[in-house]
Amino acid sequence: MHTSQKGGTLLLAGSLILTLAACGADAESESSGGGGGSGDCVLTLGTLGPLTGPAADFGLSMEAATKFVAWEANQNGGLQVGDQTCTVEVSSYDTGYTSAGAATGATEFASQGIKFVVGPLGATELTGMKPVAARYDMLLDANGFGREALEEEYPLVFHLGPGPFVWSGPIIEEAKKHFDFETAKVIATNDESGDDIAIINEEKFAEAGIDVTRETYQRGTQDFAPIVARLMRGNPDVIDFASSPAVDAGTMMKQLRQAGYDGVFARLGGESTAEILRVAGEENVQDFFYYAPVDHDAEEIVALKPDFKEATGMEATGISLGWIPGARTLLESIEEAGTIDDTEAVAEVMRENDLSDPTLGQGVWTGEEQFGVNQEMSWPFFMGLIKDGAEPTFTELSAD
Amino acid sequence: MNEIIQTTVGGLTLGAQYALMALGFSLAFGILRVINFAHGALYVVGGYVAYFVTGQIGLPYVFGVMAAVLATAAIGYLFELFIIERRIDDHLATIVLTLGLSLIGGAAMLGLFGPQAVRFPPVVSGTLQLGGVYIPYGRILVIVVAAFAIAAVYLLLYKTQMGGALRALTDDREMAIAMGMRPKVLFPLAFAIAAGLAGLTGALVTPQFSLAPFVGEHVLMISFLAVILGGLGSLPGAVIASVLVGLVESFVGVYVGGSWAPLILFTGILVLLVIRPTGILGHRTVNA
Repeated sequence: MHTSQKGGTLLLAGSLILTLAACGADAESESSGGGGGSGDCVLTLGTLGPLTGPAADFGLSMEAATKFVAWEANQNGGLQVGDQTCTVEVSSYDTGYTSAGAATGATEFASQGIKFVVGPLGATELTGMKPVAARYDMLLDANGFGREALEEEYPLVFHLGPGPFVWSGPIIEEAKKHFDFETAKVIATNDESGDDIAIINEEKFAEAGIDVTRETYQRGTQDFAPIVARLMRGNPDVIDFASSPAVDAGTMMKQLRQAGYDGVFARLGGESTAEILRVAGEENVQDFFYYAPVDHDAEEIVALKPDFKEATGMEATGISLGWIPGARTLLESIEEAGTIDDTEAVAEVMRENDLSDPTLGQGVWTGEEQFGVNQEMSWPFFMGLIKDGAEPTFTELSAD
Repeated sequence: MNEIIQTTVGGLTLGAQYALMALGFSLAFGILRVINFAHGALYVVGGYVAYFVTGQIGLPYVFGVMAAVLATAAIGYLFELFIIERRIDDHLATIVLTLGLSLIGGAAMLGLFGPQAVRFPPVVSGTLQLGGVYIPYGRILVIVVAAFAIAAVYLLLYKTQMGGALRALTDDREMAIAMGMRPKVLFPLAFAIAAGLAGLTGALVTPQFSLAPFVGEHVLMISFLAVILGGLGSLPGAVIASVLVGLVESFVGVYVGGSWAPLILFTGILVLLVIRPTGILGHRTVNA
C-alpha cells in the first residue's frame, strides 16, 4: 500500500514536472546579456509576439527578421558601440498575441536586462506592453495597427509603419482598377487588434464609394460556418479579412468557397499570404488583393532571400522583410549613440536617422497626422494581387 | 426561407460535428469518471497522424484515418494502463495527469511539425447544392461518421457483455470486481476507445478547417460544454446538447452576429443549469 502510494506520488510529481516543462516551452531565451561571443560585449535584442497559435506567422516572421538583422551585424564583425565591439544576440518571448502576454514578456526582458525590443506587433500587445516597458526604460521598435500605437507619454516607442490609415485607401483605389466591386464586408476579431484596423478599413471603403458593412467574430473560433453564412448575406463583391489571424482568414476563405461564394477576397492587414494560401488552398484564393510591405519580385528582395534563409532557417515572408529596415535602424542608432544601456540617448539619435535602407530604399518619418507623434518609420508599400489564380504581382503605391 | 433552411442545416451539421468531438470525452467521463483534459490534444494528434500518413507518406486518406485511430487508441490504452489506473479514484490527480498529457501532446506536435498550420486539404471536396442550400460533402461525411460512431458506442455500452461490465464497474467497482469483472483489462480498453474517437474526429475534421498544434483547445471546450449541458456521463445528453449548441451558434451567428454567439450561448447554458443543475439528461445521485 505504502509503495503504491509512493509510486503514485512520483507519477504525479513527474507529470507536474513535464507539465511545467511543456508550459515553459513557449519561452525561448537565447541569452540574458552579459559576456560571451567573439566581441567585447553582448547586446541582446528582445523580440516578442505570437510564436504559437493562429497568428504565429506574424510573430515568427518578426522574430526571424530580428535574428536576420543580428546575424547580419555579426557577419559584419559585430556592432561597434563606442570603443567596444558587440555581438548581437536575440531573446524571444511568446505573447500568445495577448496584452497580458506582452506585459509579462516585458517583465521577462527586464529581468534579463534587455533594453531594446523589436516588437510587439499586435495593437493589443502594444497596449499591454507600453506601460511596463516604460517602467524599465525599454525602447520598443514596435508595430501594431492600433489607433493609439504612438502616444506622447511613451517617447521610447517607435512604430514601424505605415498602417492601414495610410495604405488602405490607395490599395482600395488600385484594386478597383482590377476588380469591379460596389459592395464589401470587413471581418475581424472583436478585440483591439481586430477592431482598430477593421474600423479604418471600413472608413476607407466608404470613402472610395463602396457600400460596406463590418462584422466581428470571437478570437479562437475554428468552425466559421455561421460567420460565413452571415458574410454571404447580401452577396458582397469583396470580403476583407483585415487583420484576422492568417489561419482564421484561410479557413474562412475555404469555407466561403465551399458555401458557393465567388467574389473577391481582400486582406488589408498584416501580410501573411503564404500562410493564408497554405490553409485555404491556392484553388480557393483565385481573386485576392492585399497589403504587401515589400515587392517580392524586386531585385534587392530576391537577392536578400537566400541570406535570410541561411541566417534564420525560414523563408522570408512579407512581414519579415518589412521588419528588417526598422530593426536595422535600431542597430544603427545604438552604434551611433555609442551605448547599449541608455535608451533615451539611442532614441534621440534614432529620431534623426535618415531611414535609408539598402533593401527597401528611402523611408520617411510619419505619424504626426495620425498619432500626433512623428516616430513612425514608413517605407513604400505595395498592393499584392492574385487574379484568376495567377502568380502574385505587386504594385508600388503612395499615400497620395 | 432559404436562409432559414441554410442556417438550420448549418446548425445541425455543426451540432453533429460537436457530437463527434464530445463523444470520446463523454465516454471517458461516463465510464471511468475521468475528466480527460487530453481530449483536445488527442484530437490534434489524430489530425497530425492522418496528415503525416496521407500528406507526407502519400498513402490514401482512409489509411490516414485508420492510423490516427490506432495511434491515439494506443496512446490512450497505455496512458490508462500505466498512469491513470494507478490514481483512478483520485479525480484531482486524473485531471492533473490528463492535463499533463495534453501539454506534452501539444508540445510534441509543436516540436515535430512547427507552430504554423500545415496544408491538409480536405480529401472529400465539393458541395451539395439543394436549391439555395449548400452543404459541403466533407460535412456530410462527418455527419455520417458521427451517426455511426454514436450508434457503435451505444451498442457497445448497452448491447454487449463488455458494455455491461463497464457500466457495472462504474456503478459499484468493488461489487463488480467481486463478481469477476476485471477493471485492469476493461478500463484501458474503454479509455483507448475514447482516445481513438478523439483521434478519428481529428483525422476527419481538421482537413475541413485547419491543423495546427493549438486547435485542440476549442474541441476540449466544446466537449466539456456538451457533457456538462447534456448531463454528466449521459451519451444521449451529450449528443442533444451538441446539436443544441450548434443550432444556437448558427442562428445567433447569422442573425445577431458572430461576436454575440458565445455570450448568448453561455448565458443560455447558465440559465438552463440554474433551472436544471443535472443538465438535460443527467440524473441526481442520491447516496444511500
